[in-house]
Amino acid sequence: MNGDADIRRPQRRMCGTMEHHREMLKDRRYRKRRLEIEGWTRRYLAENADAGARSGYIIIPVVVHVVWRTTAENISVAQIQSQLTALNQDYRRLNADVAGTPAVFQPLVADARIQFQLAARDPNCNPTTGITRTSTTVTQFARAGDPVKFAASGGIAAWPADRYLNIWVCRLAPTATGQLLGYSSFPGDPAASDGVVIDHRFFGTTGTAAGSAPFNLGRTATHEIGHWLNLLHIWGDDGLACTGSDQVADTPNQADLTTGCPTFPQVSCGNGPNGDMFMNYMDYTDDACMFMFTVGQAARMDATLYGPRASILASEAIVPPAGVPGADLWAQDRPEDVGAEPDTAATVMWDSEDIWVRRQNDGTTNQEHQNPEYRVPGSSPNYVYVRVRNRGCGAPASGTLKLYWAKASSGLSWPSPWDGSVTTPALMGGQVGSQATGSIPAEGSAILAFPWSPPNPADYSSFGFDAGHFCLLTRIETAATAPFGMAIPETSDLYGNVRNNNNIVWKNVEVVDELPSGDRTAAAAVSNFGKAPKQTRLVFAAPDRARGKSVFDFGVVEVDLGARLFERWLKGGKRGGGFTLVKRRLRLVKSGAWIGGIALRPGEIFPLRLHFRPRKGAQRSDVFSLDLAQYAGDKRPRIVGGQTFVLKTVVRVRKEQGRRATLEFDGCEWVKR
Amino acid sequence: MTDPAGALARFWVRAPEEDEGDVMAYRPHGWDLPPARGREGLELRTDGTAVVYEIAPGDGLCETGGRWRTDGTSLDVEIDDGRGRWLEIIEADETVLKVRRRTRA
Repeated sequence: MNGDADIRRPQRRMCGTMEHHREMLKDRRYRKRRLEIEGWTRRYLAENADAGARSGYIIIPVVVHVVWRTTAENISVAQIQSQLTALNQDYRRLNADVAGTPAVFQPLVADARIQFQLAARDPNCNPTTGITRTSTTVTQFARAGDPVKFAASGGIAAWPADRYLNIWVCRLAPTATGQLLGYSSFPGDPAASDGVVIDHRFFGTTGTAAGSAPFNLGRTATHEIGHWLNLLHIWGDDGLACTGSDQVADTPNQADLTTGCPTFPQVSCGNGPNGDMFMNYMDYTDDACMFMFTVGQAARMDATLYGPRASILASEAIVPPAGVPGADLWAQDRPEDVGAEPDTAATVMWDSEDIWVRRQNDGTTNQEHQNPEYRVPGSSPNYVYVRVRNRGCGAPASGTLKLYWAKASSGLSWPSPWDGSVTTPALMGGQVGSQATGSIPAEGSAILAFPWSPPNPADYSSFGFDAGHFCLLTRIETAATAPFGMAIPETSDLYGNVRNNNNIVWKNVEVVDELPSGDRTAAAAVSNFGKAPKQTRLVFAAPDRARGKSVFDFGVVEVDLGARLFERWLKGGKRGGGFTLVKRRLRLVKSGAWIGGIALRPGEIFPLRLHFRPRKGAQRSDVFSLDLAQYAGDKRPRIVGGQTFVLKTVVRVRKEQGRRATLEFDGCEWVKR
Repeated sequence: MTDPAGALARFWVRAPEEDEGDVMAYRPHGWDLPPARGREGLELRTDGTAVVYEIAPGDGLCETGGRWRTDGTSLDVEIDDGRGRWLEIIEADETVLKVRRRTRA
């Protein structure tokens, strides 16, 4: 392919008015940042090549700046909402048209696990709709110089780019060759111009966008935010050549951009028989003809979110400021949690993304949870990371963060076994550590790291197959004496404590590894750490059933209660539903399957085992989950806790053909070496 | 500069929807092309200067100056940054330019 290379020697390319000295200085700094970010991204991707998709999801706070001259340009809230809906489909692979992906590319289609939500607080910590409206005299905004991003040129300034995704919506001027639909910055851009700009006629799916076919499905924003998350054009930005790369391994090498809506396949750069991936969001096809990101692109976006845009993960921008104390340390139960006490946004309280385990000390730059690993004494420890936030608008705050472990079980109480008081059949819990949070400014956050050597699974042989599974609890104390700064004093009801207090978060998530057979097994334990007998019910929920991401989409799920628990269940009247019995195993047939009437005496622990057998046929890289919740009480069962099981499938792909270029960015254009 | 057909010196806009195999199509500026997310362009001026319009990495256009020349069968564009386009002319008139990339002679 070198014969037709367009590139002979790498040089700066001058773009229009960018030639004076100040701009050049800026460019040098920018180019350096771009190279650092690209280096970071490559290291992340190399280190996580086999890790599979990120198991959690991330909510990115958005501010939409509507800059208008005519009434039509002052687009409606409904039109803005229609764009968010489109984004939340496209970035979660919930768009119906993804089914049109050619079969050969189907295994590569990714759920990017990114969601978007309008901000609830502005940079001054006032309530906001996440929409600003600015009237202007500018007829149409040029791209050069970013006038829409500055009040002096008729636009409005960005909100802090480390906490918000800024989207400006205005009328854009055409380029020399046609209408410009939108454009974006890349990570590393100056904060003042960080964000995406979209012409109102191509923003969302309703209002002024309704008549804008073929760009009326909101895909311009999907494409631009791809750039904002550091995705490059799928053809490699190399001016018709096959030398450039989008730095993503599972997208085919492609010569040129694609317009319109071609039929599959379109071959270029010797990429037959499957040809170009012109249905990718990062090509230039019509809205109706682009409908997928690849696994490799999702991984590149992950690298961005754990690297140059990591601050967005700690943003408090979706937290409404009304009623929040001047200083309030907290951590999130789930990504949509805003710190309300009690937290009514979720049922699952044991899957905080503000706690994560890493097997090495890399958790500030890789926040993907790993199962802890037992290592012989003297070996290097695992690390547990906890993010502490201050959702207050006024003052810095500090406290003491206490981290505890417990042998995993769906039924835990407080303070035992976390306090180390339960020692049979072995030590069932204890404190991992205690650290001062330091002063955390209003709307700030900190990540605290705790080295941790989990106990030896051999000590838990009575747990059988569940010997190596632990869960974690963290409490932020802001007072030395009871109730330790908790809004609602803690009781023995652990689940209630976590739900009632935003200072307490819990992680009981097991990433279920694949066996050589392709099957997977996971273990759980049902227990009663209370002081009285409990009627117990177990409920198996597939939380993403509607999204096609529950374990039922993975394959067959069976629960082996083990002989003792099975007998106990029979004795209790064999109550339950949503499963069929297959050789004394429960084969789950629907989300919400349950068994009940199980009498547990104080101190009893029963291990049980889950079997996941993948369905036959083509798999794709994905993340599936199952929640096991334990309830106590017969007439009005209340939830006491649970465990979440995460299954990842990783599809290996053929590497992209063609040369991988090294990129430099000079402020206008990529330059390749 | 040679421009035997007299047709080359104009502002050409890429029309990839009209490509056939490795033959790339351009239409004159202002031609009624279907709406597109963006189009590249090649402005060949009568004084021998050229402007190459490429899609910028974050969308919109990036323009770079250069010079062009033709011998009737080939079209060479030397871009100011040291790159170039070396093209074989398949068809050229007032309404269409069709070229194929060639290895530089």
